[in-house]
Amino acid sequence: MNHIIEKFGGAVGNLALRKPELAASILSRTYRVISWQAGNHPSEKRAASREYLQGVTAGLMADLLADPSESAVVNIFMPCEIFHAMGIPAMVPEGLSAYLVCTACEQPLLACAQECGASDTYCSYHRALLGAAESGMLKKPMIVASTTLACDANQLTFARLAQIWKVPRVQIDVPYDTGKDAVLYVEQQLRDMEKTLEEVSGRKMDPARLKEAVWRSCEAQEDFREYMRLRPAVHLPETFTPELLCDINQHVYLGSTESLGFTRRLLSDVKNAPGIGSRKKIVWMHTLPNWQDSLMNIFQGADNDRVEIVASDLAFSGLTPMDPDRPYESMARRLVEDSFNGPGSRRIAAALAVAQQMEADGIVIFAQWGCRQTQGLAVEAKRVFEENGFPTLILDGDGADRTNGGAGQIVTRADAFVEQLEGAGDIA
Amino acid sequence: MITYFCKYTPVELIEAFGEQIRMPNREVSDSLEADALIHSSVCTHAKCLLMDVNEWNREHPGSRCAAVFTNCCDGVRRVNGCLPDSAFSFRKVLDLPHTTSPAAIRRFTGQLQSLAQALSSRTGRELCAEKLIGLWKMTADAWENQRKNSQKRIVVLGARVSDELLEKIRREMPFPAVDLTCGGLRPLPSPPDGLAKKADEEILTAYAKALLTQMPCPRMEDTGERRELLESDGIQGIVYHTVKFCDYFSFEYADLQKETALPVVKIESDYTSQASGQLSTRLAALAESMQSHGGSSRKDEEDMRGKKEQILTETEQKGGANIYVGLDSGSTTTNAVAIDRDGRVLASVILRTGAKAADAADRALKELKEQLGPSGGSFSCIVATGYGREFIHAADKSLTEITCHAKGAHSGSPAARTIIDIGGQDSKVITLDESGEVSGFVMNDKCAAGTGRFLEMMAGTLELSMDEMSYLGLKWKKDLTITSTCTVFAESEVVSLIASNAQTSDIIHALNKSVASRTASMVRRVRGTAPYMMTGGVARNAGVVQEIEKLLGAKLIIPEDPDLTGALGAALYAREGM
Repeated sequence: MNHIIEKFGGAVGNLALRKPELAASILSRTYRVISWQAGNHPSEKRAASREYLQGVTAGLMADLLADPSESAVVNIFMPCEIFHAMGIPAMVPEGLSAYLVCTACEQPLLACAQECGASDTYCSYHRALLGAAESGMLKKPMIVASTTLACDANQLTFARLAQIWKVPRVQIDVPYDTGKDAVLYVEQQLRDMEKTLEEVSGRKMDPARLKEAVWRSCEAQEDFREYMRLRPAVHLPETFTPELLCDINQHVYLGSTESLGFTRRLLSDVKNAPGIGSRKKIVWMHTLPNWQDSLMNIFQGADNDRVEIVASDLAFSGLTPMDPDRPYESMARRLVEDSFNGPGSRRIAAALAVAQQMEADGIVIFAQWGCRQTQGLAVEAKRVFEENGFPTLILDGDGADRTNGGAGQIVTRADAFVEQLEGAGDIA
Repeated sequence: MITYFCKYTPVELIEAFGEQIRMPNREVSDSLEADALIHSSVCTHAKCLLMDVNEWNREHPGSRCAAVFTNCCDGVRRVNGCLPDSAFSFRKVLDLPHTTSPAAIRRFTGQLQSLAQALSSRTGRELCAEKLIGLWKMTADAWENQRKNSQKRIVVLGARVSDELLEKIRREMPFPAVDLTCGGLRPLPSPPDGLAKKADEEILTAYAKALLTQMPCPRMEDTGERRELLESDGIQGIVYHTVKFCDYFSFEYADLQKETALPVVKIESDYTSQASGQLSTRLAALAESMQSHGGSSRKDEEDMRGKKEQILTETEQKGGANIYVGLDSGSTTTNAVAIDRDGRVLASVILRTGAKAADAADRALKELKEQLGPSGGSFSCIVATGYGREFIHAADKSLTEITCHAKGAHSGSPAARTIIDIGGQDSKVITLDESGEVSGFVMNDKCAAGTGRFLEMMAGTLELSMDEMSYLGLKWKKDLTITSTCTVFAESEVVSLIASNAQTSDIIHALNKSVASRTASMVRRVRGTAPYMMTGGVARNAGVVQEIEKLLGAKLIIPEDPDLTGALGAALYAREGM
């Protein structure tokens, strides 16, 4: 990471504990500049869709840090069409934490969360968000809303956030099975959530706007399916940050005009991209540690003709057909049928199918520190993938804590895996 | 025999079909077998469950395990996923809602009906509703009795505790210990009157409601009722237990610390056989804390009175010189202090502990005697403290280093409110009230980061003595940072910095910052306030002291002999006849 960013982040992070409002203001302005730059002076070295989504997301983070009083803090699986239709911006831990770590100010916030009760083995994305809230840097939003999908941390973090901020909280209980009853059970809860949002915000839901939002979700999902069909044959210069942004886009942004704006550009990018050449194709599971330059250098880059990430499983986990005329049922079905729901075998099967569709050369399971869901299925997934002919690497790492784990060890493993794919040898 | 894993499992329903039940809860010597099947950073209890199923199948050739799972937590969900169907003769996974809404109760009733059908097929029996209600009432009565119990007791809260650890807690505590963890008493409400006359479906609906609305575990949406766990007379203290890589309980513990006036200690286990060390220290510190709050048991009081009388008698008979000894048996050094009746230090010793704590203690006592000379007489009373305190046969009594450090520190600086002690194996922060009593404490986890051992290892890597580390740590010019908190990874970073020609003093400064950061974090966790005192061998390291002072924004009081604080406190207790 750039030394100047480290200096800046260290200073702002420490400031967050002493003068949280000033730290929030500095970070908000910083993210605003990033947003402006991506929107007005996009780099030609990067895909247009990537710059567009970077601009949108950085702008959203800037808004939320400046004044979150009209916003919601949600978990990544929350179907947000209801929020978009009511004009309530939604923010996810993975989004804010990724920005905090990329601006090197996460350490004091992580420490603050731990001092307030979070264990050191707790998911660092959630810890960083908790630290931002506990320190007072992130002021209280209008509401917090989460689903029980996909992990225990969701229940704990969002309950804790509601307690810290003293704001209303909604939780959508997602059954483990994927049947019709389960969809009905979730559908009713989504309707109830809408009522709560109406009460809290004082706004009334316009059914036409909700239908429109779900229509945009349908269109974006359709674009994404087409993107996935074309993706195996083409090369995109940068993949770590775009894939992470894609993960967020394909969940909480779905239904927004920005989300559809992104998938339209993504489709255009992939149609105009050069061929992938002899690069080895990787399917990635879980989030991507986009702060870690040394790891990114292995898996992406215009000069990198060795290997490229072609898909990440969070981005395609909820590709379920939706019907704008049945908005609540559509959102409920997307949630229930998400491949992250139910036994790990569902997620493994979904990743395997995409690896086959992408004609992938290998699969990386990013065992994010504190993510019991991904860590818990990693060994079984590796067994299944390798039985099906996909060399697989379980890569232990941390997407939101730069101090957790040795960069050298992670890079050595990733490098060895690439060498394995290239046939330079076999690793145990 | 049906194996189950969670307190939300409808065990009364299973038993009503004539099945026996078991909930695996034993420690393992290691988790190597599980590590081959599941990632090492998954809840250590969950890994034990995985191994238990395989062990059951090995011990019962010809019959495979029958189990009822709930999707209660990430650990159990993933254990279920790692075990193939071939491991089971019967497996049912209950989809457990997170709420108690009418819709959730309806869904869970459906799950119970489905389980009842499966059990009926397995056993060839029909559901006996009368038996179900009878068993349910027994469970509810046991819970009600606990709530109404006013006998002095301690409660074990948090994540489930292994049979072995619970036994250890019961041995260490001066009062009976009640297990209210998620593997302990099942807090079910009673069946409504007249339920037996209802149809099976109605009975199952009522039972589903009782299961879901029992005293909740933290996985449920509304956990407010959990505060009632402590609303009962007679509770003298709390052992709060967490399991490594289980996320559910750390927030509750943080709140509990703020809200309860009861003595509370947090212990963490990983379901492997526990080495005594830190765990015993923490439990013993809680027992001492309860006693200092006036909660000592009659037996303890009688023991103490008897011992004191015995010592006084023996001293008089011997015509002894009233010399009291405190012996701090640490992992790196063994320190001893001899004081007279007025508390004046007559002699002190610091020597390397080496391989055997008892041998080092004998050497320390011998050296004390040599310092005191032939007219020094015999020792009236010896109190041992520190990691090896239980192995000091010459000691009349042992106390934890928490209590002894507090005593020693308060005697030297009565104003000190927070004691930071960084020893070889562990680091701890103790807060004191105005009278010098321990009001709270926190210790580092099993990791060596932030301890004296960490600095020793780094000194070895840099090929420096500890004195050189202390001196050079003040001479830094460039502000470097060691990012890894893990000792092993931090050593890798040091090696990289050496390779990149970083100045040694700058590297030491970075290491000092790392230790200071962990220490300051512990101070904040226990809500320590100034004036701060630092004890233990690391207090001699000027570089570390300077960095801690920077982070705390206050000067540290460093005693003349910071290594001897614990031993001095033990000697003072010896003088008081414990």
